[in-house]
Amino acid sequence: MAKSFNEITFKYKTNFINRLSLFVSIFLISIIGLSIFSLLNSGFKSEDAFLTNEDIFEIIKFTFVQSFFSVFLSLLLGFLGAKILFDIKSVLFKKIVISLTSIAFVLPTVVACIGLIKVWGGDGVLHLIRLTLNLNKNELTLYGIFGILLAHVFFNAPLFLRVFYNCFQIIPVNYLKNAKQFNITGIRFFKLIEWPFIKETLPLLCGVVFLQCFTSFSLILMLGGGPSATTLEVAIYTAVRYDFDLKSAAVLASFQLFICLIVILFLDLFSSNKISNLQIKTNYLSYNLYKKNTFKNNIQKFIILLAYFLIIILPLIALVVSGLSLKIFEILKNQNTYIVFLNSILIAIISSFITVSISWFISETRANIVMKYDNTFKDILMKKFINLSIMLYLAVPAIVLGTGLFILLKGFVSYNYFPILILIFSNVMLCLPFSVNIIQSHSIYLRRKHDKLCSSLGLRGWNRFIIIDFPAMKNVFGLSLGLCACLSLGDLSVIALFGSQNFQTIPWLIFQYMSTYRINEAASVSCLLIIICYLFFIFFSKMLGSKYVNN
Amino acid sequence: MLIIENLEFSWPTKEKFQFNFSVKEGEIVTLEGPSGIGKTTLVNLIAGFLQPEKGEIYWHKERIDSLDPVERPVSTIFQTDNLFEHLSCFQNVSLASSSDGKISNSRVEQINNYFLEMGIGNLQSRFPGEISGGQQARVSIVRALLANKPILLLDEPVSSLDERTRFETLEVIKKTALKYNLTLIIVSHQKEDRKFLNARQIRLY
Repeated sequence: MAKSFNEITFKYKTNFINRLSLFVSIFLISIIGLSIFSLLNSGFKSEDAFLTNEDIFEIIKFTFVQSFFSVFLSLLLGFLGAKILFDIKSVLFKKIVISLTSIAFVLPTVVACIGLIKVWGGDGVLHLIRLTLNLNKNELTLYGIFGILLAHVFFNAPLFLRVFYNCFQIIPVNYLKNAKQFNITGIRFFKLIEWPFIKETLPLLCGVVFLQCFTSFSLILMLGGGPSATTLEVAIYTAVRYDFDLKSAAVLASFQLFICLIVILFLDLFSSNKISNLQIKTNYLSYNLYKKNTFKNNIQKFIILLAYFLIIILPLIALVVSGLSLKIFEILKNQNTYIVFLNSILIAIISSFITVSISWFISETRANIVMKYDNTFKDILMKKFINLSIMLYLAVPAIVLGTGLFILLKGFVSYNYFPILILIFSNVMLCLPFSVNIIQSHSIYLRRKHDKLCSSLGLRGWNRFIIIDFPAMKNVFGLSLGLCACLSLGDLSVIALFGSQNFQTIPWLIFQYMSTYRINEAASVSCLLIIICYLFFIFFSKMLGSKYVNN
Repeated sequence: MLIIENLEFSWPTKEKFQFNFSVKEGEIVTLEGPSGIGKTTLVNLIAGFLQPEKGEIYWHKERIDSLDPVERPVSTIFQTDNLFEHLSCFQNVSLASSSDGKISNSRVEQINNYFLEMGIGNLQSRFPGEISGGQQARVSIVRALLANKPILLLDEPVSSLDERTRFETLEVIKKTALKYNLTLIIVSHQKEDRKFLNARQIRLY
């Protein structure tokens, strides 16, 4: 068989990078596989289990129900929001809405919870509704299914909005004009104009959001309503941390793994980067097509915008207002705060650099495969294997990973270093899908642009990386480092298992304040966390940004 | 008669456009002028896709500038994206017949006749991506005829076609306009188009 241009010219690169990626993928899958095996092995050997079959069935049922409704409500609000945004002519308004909703992408879950509690809980919106409808506290409370749905909508509606808005921008303006001249409106407008542009992205997007809601941990931990409103992930945590009931944990983990793996296999069917609408630069396109503003239209717009204001924007404002109080100085006086912050920052920096390094060569391997004209069965297998190593953490409960690794490594590693190692590992796994996605698209773009030129100039290997690839990818590396640092700084998953007075991180400190109902202190630490995340983001972007490279 | 009277419109970053002219019923006119002078803006204003800041549009002495596009006596054919890619030619055309997708038997027969008349009788079940640019233009004309509006606006409908197809398509447009007594306003950059259509020139400055 004739070899393609890329195979002949870049063999030096493909061999080394591909082997490295394969080695890392095997390492990551092995660690996760062994930790799962350790927990299941210990769990199924145990005799006693606190949870009955009925309890487990109820937990699975609740996990499914909350995930389904979270996806449905986020999709609905995201779609309606995107429609309004697309209709509105003011570019400034579009920019403000997109910027505000983008904050929800990077906001740590613990921080968002505080904003939601400030607006909806206690003396907030629900209190007003209770007073109006003359209900008591038990009849309408934030803690439980209501709070969980609210928090999931807070995080996912902006994602749907952003993706749908980008999809709508691809609709040719003449389609919209045709719709006007042939009076295509309502459900028919959706079917003929909007649906063709969102249908490609929808299954993958819904699948990812479903998975996130299904495996959601910190939100449920903080807003769940005890045993009646708990998910598989939180039930595993409770079984391990409070009851040390490894048998129940093993059973629950098996169910979670099984269900999530089915969803991941489903996602793999749609994995040809159709979600890339997320990465398309938002253009704030405004067609200025004339539209009559009827009273009905205005009322619909008002209701949707009010929902966005109450669910997403007001919690952000409430968080900042309550966080930036005098309490912040009290917190800064405490020496322990600095140790906690230092822990988090060091772990975030190490995790981010490891993640971006791994992401770079995994992206290069995936680019090598994409750039080949004829993919062999071996190539496809390797691509699937690498994909699995990136996506696997979405299915594996962080608590299962932590407990499994603890059982696996106890006796080999000192307990002083153990939480740090697990935190770094879980942060790397958490950030990998995002980081690979960011780097890979740019890597493929640069390969297509530079490969032939580099080949004609004889630029190869390390020389090519230093002279051509690294300067051209600096911005993307910076963006990826910033994002990974933010995600690592705000993650409350494995630390929930290993956090103690001796070892704390910022999300754990916030969780501790919330557990003791010190919401204002929690809000102040959250504000400090946001400031640190922002500084990290700016620092990495500036440090690696280049005015000559336009991303 | 179509009368455009003191019609004004301005884009945020450009100077104000002002239009004043009239077109007789059944007349063929070409809109000409340099790029950026407002030819497409004018088409959008007549079709109702843009709302003028000032001025009036009359058709047979009846004011139409406050009507929705669907209520105006105007069909528009654009340079690109005239047809929905995911609908067959028949489905695309039937949109002009009813926006809810239901279509009577007499309408189906009418569509068949128009397709035959345009020389594309065998293309009804094809998708826009499967036919040539000239054939797409003919399908758009069928749809415009089916909408049964007396004014046909064409925004550079043949500019992306090769020379032979361009004149073939213009021939179809001319014949159709004469047969159905359509008032034709066509945006064009080519002097030859005007000559071929035997049209009056409206030059924008």
